[in-house]
Amino acid sequence: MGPSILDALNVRVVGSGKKFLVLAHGLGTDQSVWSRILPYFRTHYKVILFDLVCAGSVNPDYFDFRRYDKLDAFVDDLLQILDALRVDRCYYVGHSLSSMIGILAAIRRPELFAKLILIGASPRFLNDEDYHGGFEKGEIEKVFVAMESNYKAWVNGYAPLAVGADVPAAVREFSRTLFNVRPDISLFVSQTVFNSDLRDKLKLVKVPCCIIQTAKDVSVPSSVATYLKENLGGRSTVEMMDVEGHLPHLSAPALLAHHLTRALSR
Amino acid sequence: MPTPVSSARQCLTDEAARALDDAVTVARRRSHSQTTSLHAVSALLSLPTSILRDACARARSSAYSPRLQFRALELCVSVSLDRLPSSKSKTLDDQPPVSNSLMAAIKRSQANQRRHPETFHFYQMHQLQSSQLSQSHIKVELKHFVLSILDDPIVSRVFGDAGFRSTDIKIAILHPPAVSSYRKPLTFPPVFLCNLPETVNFPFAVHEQEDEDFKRIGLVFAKKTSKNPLLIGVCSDSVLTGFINSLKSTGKTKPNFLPVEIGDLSVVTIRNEISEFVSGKLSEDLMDLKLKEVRLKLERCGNGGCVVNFGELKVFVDGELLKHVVLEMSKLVHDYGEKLWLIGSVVSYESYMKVLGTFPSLEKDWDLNLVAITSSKMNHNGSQFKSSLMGSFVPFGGFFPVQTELDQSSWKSDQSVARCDVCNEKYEQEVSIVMKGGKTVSVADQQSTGLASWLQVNESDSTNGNNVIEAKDHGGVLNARIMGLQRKWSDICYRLHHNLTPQHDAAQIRMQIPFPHHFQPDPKRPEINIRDVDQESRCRNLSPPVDFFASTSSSPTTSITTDLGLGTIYVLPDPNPRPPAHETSPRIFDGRGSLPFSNEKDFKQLYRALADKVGYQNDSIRAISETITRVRTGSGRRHVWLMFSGPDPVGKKKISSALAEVVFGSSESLISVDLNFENQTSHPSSIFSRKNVNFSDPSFRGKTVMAFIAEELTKKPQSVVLLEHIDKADFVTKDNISRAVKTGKLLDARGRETRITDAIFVFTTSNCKEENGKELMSYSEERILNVKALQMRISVEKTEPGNSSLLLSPKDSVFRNPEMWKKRKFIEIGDFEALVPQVKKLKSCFDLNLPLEETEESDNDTVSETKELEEFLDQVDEKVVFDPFDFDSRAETIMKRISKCFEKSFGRTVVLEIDNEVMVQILASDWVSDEDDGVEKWVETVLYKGFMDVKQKQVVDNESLVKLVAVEGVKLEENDALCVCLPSRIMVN
Repeated sequence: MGPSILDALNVRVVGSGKKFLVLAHGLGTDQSVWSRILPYFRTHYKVILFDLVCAGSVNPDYFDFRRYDKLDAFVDDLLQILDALRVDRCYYVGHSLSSMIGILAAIRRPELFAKLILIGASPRFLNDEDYHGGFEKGEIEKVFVAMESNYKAWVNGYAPLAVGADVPAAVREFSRTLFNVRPDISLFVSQTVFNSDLRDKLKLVKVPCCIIQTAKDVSVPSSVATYLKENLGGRSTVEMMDVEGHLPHLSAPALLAHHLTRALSR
Repeated sequence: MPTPVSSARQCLTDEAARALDDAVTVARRRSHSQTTSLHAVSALLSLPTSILRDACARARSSAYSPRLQFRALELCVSVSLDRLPSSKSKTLDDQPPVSNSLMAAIKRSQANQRRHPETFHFYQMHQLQSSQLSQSHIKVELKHFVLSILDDPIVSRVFGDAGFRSTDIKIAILHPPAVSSYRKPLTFPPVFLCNLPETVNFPFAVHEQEDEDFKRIGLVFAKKTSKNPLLIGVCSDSVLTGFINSLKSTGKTKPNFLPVEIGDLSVVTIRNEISEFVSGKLSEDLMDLKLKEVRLKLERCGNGGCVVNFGELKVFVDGELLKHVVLEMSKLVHDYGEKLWLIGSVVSYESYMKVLGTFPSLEKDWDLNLVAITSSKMNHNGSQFKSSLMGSFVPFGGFFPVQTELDQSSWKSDQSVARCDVCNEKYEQEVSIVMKGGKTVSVADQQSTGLASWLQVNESDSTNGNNVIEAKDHGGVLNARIMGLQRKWSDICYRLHHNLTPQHDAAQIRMQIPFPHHFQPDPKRPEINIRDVDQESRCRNLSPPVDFFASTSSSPTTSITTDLGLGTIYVLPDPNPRPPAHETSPRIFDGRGSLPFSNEKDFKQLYRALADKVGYQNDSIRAISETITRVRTGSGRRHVWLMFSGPDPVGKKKISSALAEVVFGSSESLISVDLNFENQTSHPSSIFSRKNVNFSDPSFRGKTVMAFIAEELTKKPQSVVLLEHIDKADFVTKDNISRAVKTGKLLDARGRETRITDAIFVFTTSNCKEENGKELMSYSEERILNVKALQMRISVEKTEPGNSSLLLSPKDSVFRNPEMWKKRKFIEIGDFEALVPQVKKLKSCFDLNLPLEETEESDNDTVSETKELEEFLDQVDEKVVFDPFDFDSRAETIMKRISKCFEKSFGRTVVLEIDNEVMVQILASDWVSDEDDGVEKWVETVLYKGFMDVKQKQVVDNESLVKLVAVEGVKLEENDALCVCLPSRIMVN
């Protein structure tokens, strides 16, 4: 018996609203990534914040390499957290990795989710015959090699690319959280993410979804957003944000907050 | 030649010799060929209770943990030791001889000790007795030994790398921590290198200092606004007590430190009551009673007034309990402002900020004025001696960033007395600005350069020049700034009005210090400075059209003086910051100058300048000018909050930009943000969205609205900030703005506060409750706002006129169609009749782009939102309701012009049909255009040319209609557009 999942994953519930809003961060960040978004919602929602087990702020001992080789283990964590907090219905905002987790969780427990809001989401990162995921197999391998050989150099190169080099403060913040992750965990989860393919599961999602896609995202081409909209099982909309970068919550918090408000009210 | 250890030991006392032995041991262990000062430092530091370690602990910067900084120091020392060459041939028991530099240090300390007054006579007697007594017989004490070692450039560099200033350490050594009594006798460094703890006593200085403080408090009393002094500084409490006592003791005879215009003052001290109340000893009723008593006293006292001493402000930190008391006192200030003076003290700026955190509007409500009690504080921690210590034997003193005060040392030691009144006054003004977080000389920057680069906090944002941002926990920085100011003004005073002779023989010191450059007061220098400054201010006078609000306090006219040799940079403010042309404008800080006359004059100037620029909305402009004049000259506050409501968003924008131009000299000083998020996405092609700062704007990346504004204001504190659609803003922004209105501070994303010093804030709302007087109107604002800038075309046709087009037909035209009259308004324009299509006004704007929100939620929101907005409205200085732009009359004027041109080209027989889209576009252009007759010019040139082209190419008879239509889908390129959104050429076919 280790510590409870609420402690292990630093779960926090803040805010004074009635409805639950889950803010789930993506790979390479932790819950601090939402700090600029949080003020917009804490009066209207009870906001649930937590760290994924692969986040740098979680004790790396909890990361079981055998268990977390599939996204399902992450989904288990999420559902366990929601159950521990006795959440019966919530709005879910997930970024990149967490958007995948959200999709899987909504398939398993549709009654739990009032709405999914997916930021920088992709069901599959690799290109396929008639699907453009943005990455070729060879490219991915190269990335993995780069991560393995020199994590620091990779972070220094990737962070400005992902966030957008014109926002140095956000790049610093992202680099910080990226560095916090143990390189082997980061690599392992990246491999998990790139190996997973949710395309055939999308139609099982019945929960309404909103896909927030930035104008230029190094990890997710905008065709993916359209693909998601067309293939998700429930009612879904796409919100285009007129900014660049994979992490709009860092680079354009005010605008993202507006989009989120709008998406939540629909 | 290195000196053998044994002969070096002869010059030292036992204690110092032990230190030397340790140093030798270190050197031997590392098998170095010589024992240097570094070894000595290393040895001294390794002892847990050495004099050096202790001094370092007290001198270290508080920004870092002591453990970290000591670790850094040890690292630096050992790294430098590693670099020293090691010798191979020596055997183990061989003692590495003392190096020349260390020996020199010992010699220096001997010389120093010999001059020490305590021992002076002793040595002199010895010398008399036996003239052969050589220096070497003076045994150097450990303290002096350490001091001399610290003079060694290598050593101070090592300390510098670790973030210490060796000068600070020296001071710490000279002043053992036991000294804690307030106002310890002022000590002056009489001779070069006299690192003496207690020397000469200047009995009068203390008194003068006290008087000085009292006088400053008195000056604050004399002000019209913010006249309630809050003394800030370590010794503020004792000064406060002294002040109150002397007020009491003088009784009927008025104390000399109070200005004449203040009548008899009685004193009420409620500090005990407050502290008892806080500790629970005093019941709430009794507290109330006491406050009532004060109120009664205020009511009774006739001519004079009442000073209420509330004591130490720190007790107010735990707010809840004292909320009531604070409120009561605010009421007192409000009710008896003229007769009541509050006075209190606070130890540090941090505590003050903490209290402000609890009561954000305290400063405003209590009308507080921070008075820095700097001088006594300076004595206290001994920083004043810094200057004299800099002058010791360091040959490359200027090489280190810290050794900067040397050139001022000769006269500065007596600074508060040495400054003349004028400079002193200015110095105090600046200090008060610093206290309020104004634009300052960043001495703090210099300080941070003393740290090794790897120790410096990454503060890219907060260290750029004249920043206004103050992190809450920077009391140390504040002190440094005040010191910097003190130094600066003394310097200026010395250069400009050096009529006061310094009390020491400066020349003598100068001769002894090996710093040749610009130490002599250069007779040319002040003149050059003055001339530069004059020129600059003259230039400035030319640029802004009406510069009467030019800030006095934070003068933008600054010239930078660089002491090349020493590497010091500080900003030398314009000694005469007011441009001479505007002498009539009242000075803000003295409060006495705000005569109604100049007020009126300011108002008229502002009104005229604005009206000239905008050309309409005269009532609004009058109200705006009045408010700005009132607030900025009357209340001593320079930031103004305005709310523009009603229709005509374009007019609001124009006035804001005109304000920026008129008040701050350039339309560049306008920071404009549209807070309506929907606006940013829904009408991207409309001509009106072109100039807005957008959320997706590059300059907005990674920031919130408030952070963006705060940052922009840091760059240019004198700006008009236009926030459009405040009612549509998200509530985080609203909350922040409302807080800013209350406290005068902006909070950025990281929670840092930016003081709003000199900005004019303009909010606009979009809820135009248009009166329903005109049910039928030809052109609605909404319609015009959504217009697109399209290319136009003229054609000749023989078809029926379209339904929604405007017809201009000559009176004698035969082309009369009854259809034309339907749904059209008839206007007679000269020789033409205009038939204007009429549009029913839409009841509500229904935007299909927007989702229908869930009703229950939006209901709640709107209720709370309107309430919020109302609350917010109560806080601004003035609400200005705009009149609608009179499109119909403008349309008439423009049509008249068009008909004239048309008549010139086609005569009086042909009918002109103008597509309504075109008319709307023309009107929009007229609305947006900065020029008064831009559209008229366009009609006379471009449109006329178009008519003529048609006439040449096509046959026009009486039956035909000349049509002016917009070409759908052909947007105007920005550079192709004349007069904002009209084409520079009209297509013809």
